[in-house]
Amino acid sequence: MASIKLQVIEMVAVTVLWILFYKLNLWLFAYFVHNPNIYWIFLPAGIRMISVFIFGWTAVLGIFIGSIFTNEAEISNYVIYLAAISALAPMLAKRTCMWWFKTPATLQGLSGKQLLIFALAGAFSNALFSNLYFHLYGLSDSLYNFLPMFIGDLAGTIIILYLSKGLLRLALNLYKRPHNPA
Amino acid sequence: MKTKIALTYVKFLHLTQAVNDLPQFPSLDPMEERLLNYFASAWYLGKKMTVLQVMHTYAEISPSTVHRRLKSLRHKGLIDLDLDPIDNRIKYIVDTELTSRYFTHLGKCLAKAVEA
Repeated sequence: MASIKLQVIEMVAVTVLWILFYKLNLWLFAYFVHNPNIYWIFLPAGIRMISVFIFGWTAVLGIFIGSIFTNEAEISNYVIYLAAISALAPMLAKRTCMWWFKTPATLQGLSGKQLLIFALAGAFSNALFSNLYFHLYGLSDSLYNFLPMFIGDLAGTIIILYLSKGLLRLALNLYKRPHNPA
Repeated sequence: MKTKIALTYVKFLHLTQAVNDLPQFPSLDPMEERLLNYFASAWYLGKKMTVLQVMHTYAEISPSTVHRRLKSLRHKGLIDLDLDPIDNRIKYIVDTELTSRYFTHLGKCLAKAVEA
């Protein structure tokens, strides 16, 4: 029971983070829109990657729900399939890369360079499957939207990763400051 | 439940280690580092070095190897080449903004190591 409670909290946290970063992205990068579904910089892609790493399938569910919320269209098969791709693509990238690098489930030994490769794989898989779906759904004649979506997801993920690095460094520096007892 | 929380926490720890490990500057091989350090002391003394001079500086390393490393350093943005105003065949190796940041970063790391 407690385990289910924890998973629900994780899922809700991921959903909230997804929605927050989506809104932030809309506000910060409104000029970087390629079309209503694609941005040249897409920060939530970073949240996708980090949350799937830490929370696994719970994060997939959180991203799925968050993606449905943030899609401005009415709920339909189109919205649901797109949300499913957005949620499952990072898990597919993570599983493939972990198998390739033989990374254990605990992520022990994960290096900075491997993290960047994961970012590349996540951006690639989401852009590929989303655009295949757009093409099959008749929304585009070709996969020409692949590149802007790939760049958007990759740029967003790298920004989030380096932002996290900066925040970690700041936190460490604050922690190391000498404390003057009163 | 304890195992799930513990696993989540361990994954978070390892992920933060990987995030800390993200490359900050272009990675350099030992030869490139050696060259860059040599340039740093020359620039500090105000010396001008040409590509040809540097290629023949190290007796134990072939000029073509040095030239390849110079190309790599230039590609990584750590050096640039200035043409001689009189003879365009002569190219001087100069530093870039990234080089200054790189050495500032190394200096800070050294200062931290000394303090620790």
